[in-house]
Amino acid sequence: MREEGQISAYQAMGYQVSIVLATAILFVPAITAQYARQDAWLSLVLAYLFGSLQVFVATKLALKFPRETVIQYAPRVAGKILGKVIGFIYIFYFFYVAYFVQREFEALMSAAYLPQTPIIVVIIMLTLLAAYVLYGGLEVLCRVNAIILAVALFGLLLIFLLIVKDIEFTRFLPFLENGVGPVVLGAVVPGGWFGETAVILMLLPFIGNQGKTLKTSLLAVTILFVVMEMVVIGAVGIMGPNETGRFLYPTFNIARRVTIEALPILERQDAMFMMIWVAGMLMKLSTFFYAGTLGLAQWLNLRSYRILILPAGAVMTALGMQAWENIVELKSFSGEVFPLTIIFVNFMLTGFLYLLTFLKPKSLQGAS
Amino acid sequence: MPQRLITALVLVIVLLAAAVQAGCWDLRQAEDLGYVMATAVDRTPQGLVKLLVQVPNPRALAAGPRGGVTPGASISSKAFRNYEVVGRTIFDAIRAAAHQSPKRLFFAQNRTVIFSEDLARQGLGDVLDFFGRSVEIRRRLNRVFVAKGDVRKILNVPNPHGVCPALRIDNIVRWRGQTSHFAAVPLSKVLETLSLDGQEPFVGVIEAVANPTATPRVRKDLSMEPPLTITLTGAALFRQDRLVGFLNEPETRGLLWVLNEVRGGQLVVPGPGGKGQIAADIHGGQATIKPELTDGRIRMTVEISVVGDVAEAEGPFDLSKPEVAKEIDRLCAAAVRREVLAAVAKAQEVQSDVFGFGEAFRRRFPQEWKTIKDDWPEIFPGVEVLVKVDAEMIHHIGMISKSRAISVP
Amino acid sequence: MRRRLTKKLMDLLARSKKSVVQPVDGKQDLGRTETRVWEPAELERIPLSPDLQVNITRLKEVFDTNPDFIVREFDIAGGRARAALVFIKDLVERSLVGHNVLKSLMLDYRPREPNGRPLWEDMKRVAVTAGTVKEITNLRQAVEGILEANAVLFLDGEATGLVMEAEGFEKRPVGQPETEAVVRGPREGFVECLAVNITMLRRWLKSPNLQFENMFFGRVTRTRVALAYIKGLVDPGLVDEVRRRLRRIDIDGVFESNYLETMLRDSPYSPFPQMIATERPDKVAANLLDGRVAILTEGTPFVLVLPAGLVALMQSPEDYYHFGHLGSFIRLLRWMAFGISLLLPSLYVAVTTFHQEMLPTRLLLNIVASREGVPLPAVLEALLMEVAFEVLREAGVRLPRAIGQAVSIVGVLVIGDAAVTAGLVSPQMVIVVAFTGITSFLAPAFDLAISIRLLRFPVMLMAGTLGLFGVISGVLAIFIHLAGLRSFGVPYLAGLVPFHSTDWKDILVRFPMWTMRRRPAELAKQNRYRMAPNLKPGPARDNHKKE
Repeated sequence: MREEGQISAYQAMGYQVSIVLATAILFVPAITAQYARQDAWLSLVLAYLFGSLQVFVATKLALKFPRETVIQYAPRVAGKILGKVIGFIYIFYFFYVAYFVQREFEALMSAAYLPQTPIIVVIIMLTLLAAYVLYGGLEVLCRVNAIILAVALFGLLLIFLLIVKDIEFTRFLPFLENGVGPVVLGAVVPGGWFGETAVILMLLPFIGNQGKTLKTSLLAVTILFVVMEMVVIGAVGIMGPNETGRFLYPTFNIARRVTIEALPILERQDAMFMMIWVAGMLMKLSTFFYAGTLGLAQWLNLRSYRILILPAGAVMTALGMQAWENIVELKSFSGEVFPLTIIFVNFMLTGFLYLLTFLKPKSLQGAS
Repeated sequence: MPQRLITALVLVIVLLAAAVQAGCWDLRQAEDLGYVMATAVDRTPQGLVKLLVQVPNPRALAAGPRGGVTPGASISSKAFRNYEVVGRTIFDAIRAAAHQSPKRLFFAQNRTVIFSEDLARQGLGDVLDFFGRSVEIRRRLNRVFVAKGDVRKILNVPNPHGVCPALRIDNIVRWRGQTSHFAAVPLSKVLETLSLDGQEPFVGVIEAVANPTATPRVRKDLSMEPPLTITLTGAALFRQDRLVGFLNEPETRGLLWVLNEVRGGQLVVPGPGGKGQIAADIHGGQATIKPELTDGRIRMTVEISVVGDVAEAEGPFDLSKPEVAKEIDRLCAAAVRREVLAAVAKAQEVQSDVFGFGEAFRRRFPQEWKTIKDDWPEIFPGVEVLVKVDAEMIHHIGMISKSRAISVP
Repeated sequence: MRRRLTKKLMDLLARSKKSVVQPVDGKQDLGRTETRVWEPAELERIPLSPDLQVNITRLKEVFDTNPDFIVREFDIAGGRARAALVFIKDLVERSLVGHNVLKSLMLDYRPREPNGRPLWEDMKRVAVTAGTVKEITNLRQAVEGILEANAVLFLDGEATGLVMEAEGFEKRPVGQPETEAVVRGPREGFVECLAVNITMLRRWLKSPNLQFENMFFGRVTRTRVALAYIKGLVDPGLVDEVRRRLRRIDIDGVFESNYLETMLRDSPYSPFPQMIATERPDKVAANLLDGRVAILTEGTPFVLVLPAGLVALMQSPEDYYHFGHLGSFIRLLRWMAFGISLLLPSLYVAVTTFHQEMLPTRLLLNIVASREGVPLPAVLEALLMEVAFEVLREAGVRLPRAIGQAVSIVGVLVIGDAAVTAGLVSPQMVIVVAFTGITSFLAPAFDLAISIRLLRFPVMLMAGTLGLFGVISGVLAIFIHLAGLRSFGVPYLAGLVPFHSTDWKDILVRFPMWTMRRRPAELAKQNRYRMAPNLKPGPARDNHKKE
């Protein structure tokens, strides 16, 4: 496996933020508000703690093997066969989320903007762009990501500032109406999403200043937490928990509500939100796609992942196209199955490997 | 190298061909759409949906030299066209309009939704689903009204300035802060309140009334002052999705006070000492609802603070005197309080909690709310409502301090 | 006295010409086809002979029957030795040849016998008054010396020749740079003559560290190219890399700096310029001070400056010649124009054909009213108008200036107005296209404007197929390309990504001079600071008052 250039810990942080951001801001408010209703913001706090724990474990594990990705050291830690299986689960997870992202992307695009366009066109367009990023390599990915992330966060902040006058804090009352149970339930999904930052397992060998990694990883979760709080408070504070839970894309709806009476020209500018979101989704897809193809190349002991890009992209698209029949399946899947799956990989599996490194300290020797 | 070049070339050609072939699935030329500016929904006696949509004629509306390019355009150019269609559902009716309309109807520019009084009394629930679900409809920008009288008449009021009634309604709504005497409720608000147990929806009322300045049509091509004029007035109260009653203009403002929706308006009160009268210009108000629960009795305290200026002082007042100012504040506060109490009385009469007292109660007493929420419409009329108003009306008093009545004795 | 001398000299010269026209060996048949082609390597293997006649014969063989090839033989030191001066007639300055060589050698030179110095040495020291001389030992050097507008002196009995500078031909005078005019700032532009250009740079940068390296490119053109950089500022690795890439180049002709540019680029297929081509000496000098390298090419006023990223291409020297606020304003305007010029037609197409809800009602109805009756869909309308605009622009550039203006006026006013009146295009589209065209002139580097003009078309197609999604996809593709692009190893978007906060003082706006202490982060890594700290001016402080 060829050296893929170096990135800084902060670039890795951008990667970690992007791997969660784009889909989470769109889906989390509705899913969380369904359970926790007006206490959704509190669920996010719990999710934040859970997410921090996951990324903490993942980073600790990754730092034990500063030159390798999890795919490379898993066989040494967990035994040859089990390690390969674990590696494959990670790889499958990356691709699996990637094609989930493709479908999520298509779902909003065809619902709101391009209803007549065949969904495959939209998906292929995004996948080709992601493939282009991957051909550029990790450095290009991180560079593109830095700017897109800056623009996206700025855009979200702008939308938030434009709607903040409409937020009514009475909508967050009463506090803990139905006790703690729903709040915890509501925390599962965003908690799983925050856990996706465990992708640091794949990035660590390419980071130059690894000493900062733990700090930046936790910072990534914090940034995500702040953004998600913004979105959730915006959605619930404007539409109330009922409507937030009812809409498929509450965030999209609050972006649509941006109005300034003095400047009617700024009404209905949600397509601008779409443009930012497309960029965000591109990064989300690229990050998973990259982690997946890189992992696969290492799993197969290839010299470069580049030959895998197009085949992997094609297989991924094919899987994505047939995996879910319609938006209803997709939504129930994203609310119920998906979070548990990713928690299994990011938390259970990573934690398992981490424990094993204590049991088999010998496995560390090859690392340094 | 040439091989790679050829591959690239082939790829580009294939992509281009694909793009051109597949052809722009969602492409629709701007001029091929009919921009619906107002939508009115009614129900036929057979229970079908009757839909009236208003599409402006861009040529007639767009100012400039291009208006007269097509021969004859300037003569027959009515500013708008109304399509009236019937269908089993709203969507069905919209598609039925395709039989008449040369352009595909497009709803994203729609800003006015009008329901007939009959339909509203039967219940809006069925027809509202379309407005909640459609991607084209902008829920925040659409204002919902109930029509008193024939919708057809309202949306057909000719306008001498070549503006279609829909745009006219929109402009009246924009200046609603001049009086705050009518409600202009966004569709999103209607949908949200419908989903709440402790708050009922209300919408504005639209009406076509006789135009006192009407002039008879002298010549066909001459613009004239139409016999009718559109007016927005008061509010319509709902219980669930059914229209149950109306508020008149002062009552409407009473409702808007509680909901923090008053952006301005006029307030006429008798002058201090019972002489003359004062007209005040309201700048805005701030209201909070405080629910209380004592011995099983529910009481709502509404605290309102009002800020404004004196616009007219007809009578012998010296506004520069603090005690006069204080007296004016007191009188205005009393007037506001009357407005609110009148609105509450009317709402309680028809059991429609448009104020959201139930919601306020739920936030304060969530556990108790669970036990009473199903009976709330019955409980609401018995709720005691206290209104405390604090008015501060002398920010500016115009260009003169003393009214002319005393400066020229 | 002097006049007589000059006249005599002229006569001598005239006679010498006559004498050399005589062909050697009587080979004078002009219809002869047999020719001997001399390769430089072959010539290099032939050393100069101590025998003057041998050298002359060989040179005459090389230059064959070229009528402007002159061999002037004469005696020096009172007939003590025979010498020959070889040159090409119209490349050299006649008075230089006459004064510096012929007059001083033939009339003034009297070797002082007793000093014991060989005649060749003595002559060089005492008699040759040319400023730049170079000793040569083989035939290749002689031939090249002659072709480079020098005069070459041979002395009988010496196996070395002396190349003397005698260049003299017509040059375009230094004028204003045509492509990069400024309101405030120097008006001097580079010219085709490399020596003049080097002089201009030397005048800007009076430092011994300003280093020029001469190279020659083109097997036939042998175009002289100078690599310029400032020692101590430039990254030595960068210079090595430039040299390495330059060394690879082996073609028959180099006529413009673009011949080199295309051979030096990191990404040959990228539509974006990876070097700055400029004809402003001040711009080159300022860039050298930033730690960049310049490549000056003989025969073109366009000098290449590298490495160049997007940020550098968006900077104009005038930004620094004006009051800071204006500089910043213009810079902002330029970035805006950059975006408009790439995206405006596409956005117009996308919004009017896919996202009608985005427009305010009045504006939408206005557009609809004017589009009613236009036969073409907006995409095709936009594409056609853009092509028409490009045609007009190209016509305006190629035609003589007076006619060119007439063409633009006829094109824009008459055709545009007629098309609108005929209902073939909508007036809004004319506004969009015209404004887009004008914004593209704001780019300080015309290379960049060209890339934008080219990329506008695919983005327009995307907009016509997928609306705003197409536009954003196009923008993202361009952006990914830029993020992966490098210019001599320096990331194209350096400053933006990889992010350098100090560079941001000179990207979107231009900070006051005293805040820009550091040179660009990716360049001049070993010499970061360009000024002393705390240079912010202000009213006199206390310590000044005391004095």
